[in-house]
Formats: sequence, C-alpha cells, structure tokens
Amino acid sequence: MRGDCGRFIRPFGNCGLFAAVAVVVVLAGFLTIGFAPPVQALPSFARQTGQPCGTCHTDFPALTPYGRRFKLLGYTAGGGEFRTTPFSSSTGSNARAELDKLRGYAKAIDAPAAGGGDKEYVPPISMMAIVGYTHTQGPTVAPPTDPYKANDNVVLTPFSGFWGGAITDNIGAFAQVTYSAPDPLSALSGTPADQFKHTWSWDNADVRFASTASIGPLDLVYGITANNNPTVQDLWNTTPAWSFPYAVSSLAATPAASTMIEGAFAARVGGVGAYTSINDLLYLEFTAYKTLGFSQQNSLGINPFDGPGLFGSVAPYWRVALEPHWGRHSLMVGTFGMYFDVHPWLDPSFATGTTATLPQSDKFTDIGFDTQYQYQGDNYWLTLRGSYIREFQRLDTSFANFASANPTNLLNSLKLQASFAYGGDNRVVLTGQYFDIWGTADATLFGLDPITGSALTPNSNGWMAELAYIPFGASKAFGWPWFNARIGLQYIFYNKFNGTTIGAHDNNTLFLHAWVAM
Amino acid sequence: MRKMFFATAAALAVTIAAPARAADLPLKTETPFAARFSWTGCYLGGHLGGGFAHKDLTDPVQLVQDSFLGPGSTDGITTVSPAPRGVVIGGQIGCDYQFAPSWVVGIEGAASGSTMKGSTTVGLPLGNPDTALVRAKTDFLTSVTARVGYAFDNVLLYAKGGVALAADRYDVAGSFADTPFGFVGLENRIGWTAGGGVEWAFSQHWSASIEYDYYQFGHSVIAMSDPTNVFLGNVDVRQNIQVVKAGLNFHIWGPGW
Repeated sequence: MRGDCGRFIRPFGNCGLFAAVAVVVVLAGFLTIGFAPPVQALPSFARQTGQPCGTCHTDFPALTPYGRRFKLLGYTAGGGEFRTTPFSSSTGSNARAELDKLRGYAKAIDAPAAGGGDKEYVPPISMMAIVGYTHTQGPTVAPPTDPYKANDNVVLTPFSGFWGGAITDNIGAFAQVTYSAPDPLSALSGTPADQFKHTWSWDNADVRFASTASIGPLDLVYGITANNNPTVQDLWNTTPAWSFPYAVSSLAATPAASTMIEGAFAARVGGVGAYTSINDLLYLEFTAYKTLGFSQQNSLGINPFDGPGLFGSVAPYWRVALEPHWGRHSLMVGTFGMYFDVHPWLDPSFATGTTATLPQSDKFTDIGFDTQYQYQGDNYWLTLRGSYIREFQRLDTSFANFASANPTNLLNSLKLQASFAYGGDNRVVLTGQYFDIWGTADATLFGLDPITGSALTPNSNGWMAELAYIPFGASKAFGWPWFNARIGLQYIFYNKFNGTTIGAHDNNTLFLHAWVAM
Repeated sequence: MRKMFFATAAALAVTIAAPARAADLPLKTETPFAARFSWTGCYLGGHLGGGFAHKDLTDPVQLVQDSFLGPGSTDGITTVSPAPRGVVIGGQIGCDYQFAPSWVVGIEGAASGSTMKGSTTVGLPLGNPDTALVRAKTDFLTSVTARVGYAFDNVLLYAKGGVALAADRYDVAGSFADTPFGFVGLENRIGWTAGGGVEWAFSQHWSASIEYDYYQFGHSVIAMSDPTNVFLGNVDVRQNIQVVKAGLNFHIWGPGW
C-alpha cells in the first residue's frame, strides 16, 4: 500500500487548512459514521477469513502474530462468510487448521464443512485511497508549482485497486494497481525522458504458494513467493517495504539518499523465492530477482529512468528471522540483505533515444539487521521495532563516468520505533520513530557545502510521530466486512537533511490524512 | 469369653493397624532422573570480545608519490603493517541438532561491530621529505558458519568454519611538498573463518561460551581515491583477523518451550 506513496497527486484546489481539515474529516466521517462498520485492513482478506481487522493488524498495515501467519500461509486461510477461493479442496484447509491450533493466536479457523462450497463466491477485490493535507515549514513545492500550491496542499494519492486473497487452497495473492497524479512542473526534467512518466502503474505484488509438512521433530510451513519488490513478501514491519511510516505525504521532500533495498527497485523487478518457517520459530527465505526490461517497466506504468538501471546478474535476497514467542510476548531477531549488480542507464535523459545501459556496473551489498518485540495486552498492543541497514557501494561505473567522486561509498540507515495501539474499536495508535541516515561524503553525488565548500554527506536524521485513529478494529458491526479506515496526524522533524542542518527544519512536515479501504 | 473377645479384637486391631502404620512410613527415596541437556534447538544471543588484525598494505609510498610525480617515480616496494585491534561486540543466531547421542551439528550467523583500528607512519623520500599516516580500520565483521561439536551433557566442545565478510576502511593522509592529500579506500571483503570454543549451558535456556575465531581474507587490490586532488590509485592489502570472544545465548526449543 505504501509502494507508490511517493507519487504526486492532484490537489483539491486552493483550499486552506480549514478546508483541508474539513475535507479529511468529512470524508472520514462519511465512511465511519455513514456506514458505521467495523472495517478490515484489506476488506477482501476480512471477507475471506471472517476475522476483524484487529486480528491481523495492530494498526494496518502493521501485522500481529496472526497476521504474519496468514501471510506466511499464502493469504489462503479461510473461515469467513464468503468463499473467495474459486478452486477448492480440503487438503490445504486441514493443514491450516492444524497450524492454527498449534499457534493458538486466534480462534481456530473452521475447516470448511461439507457444504462449505455453497458459500457465495466473492472475488477478493479491494480498493483504497489516501487523502491528505500537507504543510511543511518551508515551501513544499518549488516553482513552478502547478498544479499544486507552494504549501498547504490537500491531495488524493495513491488510489489503488487490489486482488487480495486466495486463488486456490494453497495459492494466494496480494496484487496492487495504483493511480498517482502527475508530478508538479518543477519535478519534470524537461528532457525527452519525461514522456515515460505515467499515472497508472502496477504496484506491490506478491503471489504465494504455501503448504505444511512434518519431518521428524520439525513442523514446517513452506512456500514459494513470486513478487516484484524485495521485502514486500516479508512478515515483519521492520523491513523496508512495509515499514513505518505507512502513509507519507507525496509532496513533502524526503531525504535523497536511501539504500537500494529501501525501494529503489520496487515494481522494477521480478523475483521468485522459497521460504520456510520451522517449528513456528525460525523463518528462512531465499529469493532471486531480475530487473524487468525497459519496455516491460514502461508497459507496467513505471518510468524506467526513475530507477538506477538494470541488473547485470540475478540479485540474491536472503532473510533469516528467529521469532520466539511465549504467552502474549513475541520477539523477533533477524537479518536480511541483498546484492545488486546495477548497470546505470547510458542516457537517462533519453536525448539520444537510447534505452541502453552502461557496460560496467556498480555493485551494492546491503546487509540488514532487525528486531521486533510485540506484546498483546488485554486491550492494547505494544510494539518495539529496530532496523539497521548497511550498504557498501562499489561505484566502478559511476566513478569512471564522473557520476560519483569516490570509487566506494558507505551508506547506513537506522530506524528505532515504538508503537502503542489502544482499544479494539475506536483504536488509537501512537507511534514514534527516530531515523538516521549517514554515510560517506561525496561531492559529486551530494554536492558541496555552500559555507565550508567541503563535500556533503548523505546524512539526514530526525523524528517522526503519528497519532492514528482506527474506528473499526475488533467487532463485526453493520457493513462488515466491506470497509476500513484510518485517520492519521503525522509530524516529521528533521535535525539534519541531506547533509546539512541549514534549512533542515524547512522540511519538517505535518501530514493529516484519511486512509480508506473498501 | 469376654477376655477372649477382647484378645481377639486387640489382635485384629493390631493386624489392621499394622499395615496402616507401614503405609505412613517414608518410602525409599528414588534417585531422581537427571535429564541430559539437549542442544537441539535454536538460539540467539550476544557476544563481546577482542579483535586483532594483521594487515599488509603495499604500496602506500608509491600511491602518494606516483600520484604527485607521475607513474614510475617511486623505486622499490614498501609494505606497511598497521595492526588494528579493538573491541568486537555483536550478536548471533543459530540452530543445533544433537544426535548419536552426543554429537552436535549446527549452523550459525553472527555479526559484529568492531572498533579495530591501527595506524603507522611511512616516509615519503621524494617529498621534502614528508611522511604519510596510514590508517586501517575494520568496523564490521560477519560470518555464516557450520559447527560440529561433542556434548558432555551441558558442556559442548565445538569447532566451526564458514564464510566471513569484513568491512574495512583505509586512509593514507599527510602532505607532500606542502600539498595536503587524503586517500580513502573502502571495501567489503569475503573470506573464510575457522575456530572453536566451549559452550556451557548453565540453565535450561541459557548458555555461555568462550570462542576463538581465525579469519583469513587473503589479499586484494583496493582503489584509493583522493577527491580533493582528484587522485586515484591502488594498494594491495593482505589481511587476517583473530577474535577471542565470550558469548551468551538464549536457547529456544520450538513449540511448547
């Protein structure tokens, strides 16, 4: 859902703060009061499982232990009022029931009765939209700002459609198509490459096969994932694709530097991997990725030139996580990483009309470590998360082509987060996060300090705080399971931005948003 | 007759009462079954220790002098050997399987941050003459290893080996003919590691270990750049690292632990 949140969206017009707040409140009120439902994170998942939002999510899209196992089992667990599996057999369901009893995190999913096939079939299709008001301390959009204002914009982005749920008893999918409104004029390059910017694109996609087995003392859940964004398939909200903040302003500036695994190739790759969970304790995964070709990316609505280039070889991704759990406690300690062999575009401006890449490549080695502690109280969830990614950049081709000042660079990314979700329905979620990005100074990549004249670093750091309200989380009132909503007030404070403290506060961002799914 | 009744009743009472008294006697104490500690399962933990690296850098003198004066200006070959040392601290996760019945095999992933750094000064005879400060630093060390061991109940002697990665930084800085210079080189180097240790499970879930590891990273050429002077050159670095560390692990046995 966050995969394309970085896109710009069309403003509602020249609304002021009052109008912006009014729009958000009215829209949220329409969905929360008008329909008065307790809603689900992805309503198609709720229709399939019969579970309320709060079973899978502390605050969507953040997952509970049950939510992680639903994903682990390939989005196939059933038990709901509607049949969302067009092709059925009992084998997978029985295995799931066994696993569910073993876990004991939620009430056991009922194995389908003999007449289970009589349930009405509803395709697992959902939609979502985020409408938000963005205010930054300095101007948000550089001139020419059209079709936006310099600041205080209310925008609708992204708008997405999903297939979310089972296909067979052992195969399920999460697939997203997203509309993003055009960039402001100032974001256009003025080169022929601008013709490859799109509004509709494919977004996060994860198709899974999952099953269970017992080998001696080992209880296994195993599966295959085919996805288009490294870490989108991961079970924890500590890896980049599903990490906090889950919704961000599409207009406010964000730090320029990020590691490759933090979304640089989202929707630009295809990957197939195998995973297993052993004794509900040890999770192992290995996936191999390859970039889509220029025309394939373009056909799917992705501007290839917005990405770093194409892989020269298969990019391996690995994941190991140990998740002991006792009583209401769940702890995860893990590592993940990826190796990228990237051939940059020969002419990203497309002035020469070529879509070729350079013969040499840059190599990026990303190694990440993450941890999560989660506690389920009587009426609340406490979650602590931490992640650290270290990227070693061997910039053979960038250095040779004067695109970087150093042949090698380091880039680090750290996030420390605490989240407290209180309540079932009318759930209030308070999340705070410290973030720090730091690395090697490079005059070509990051520019020169205007005062000292020395090379700038990619360093940015600061704090995020978000207060979210989720009206429907635990019960099954009128309208269930068709709607869901989340209203968030988010503030991002920068101590340092893109290597300097000068003007860093200008990027401080207030983002009031309503996120609705149906 | 009356006497006979009382005698019979008394005898019966004794007969009945005797077993009752016997039942109240303490039973013979059985020797408790001492369950052997099982190393089968997974664990996560942390470690703290010291690291000692040996690095041979060839040739920082040529790097500097040839950058300023042109290729071929430097005669001879100079190798310097800063000896970085420092604290190693990190974590590990792994899983073991015990069989037949005291052998243990397992796999472990470990990662450490390190303060290992060292420096040495080398002369630049073609300068005024000048000197260059050569610094070497290893700040990250990680490995994936297999281990095999023999368990004496809750004490495990083991050997391990596998693949390792070290993240290094090298600096060659100073001034040459009154012009300051600063070469920097970064690398991630993959090598192998072998080691061994002893691990003591002092409770059902906790164990402590002492371990020695040897890392061999061979030699490779590292690009050194000086962005200020727009210089680029190479040094060859041969390195190995030895680590002694103490670890603490928490063991998890799977469902129902």
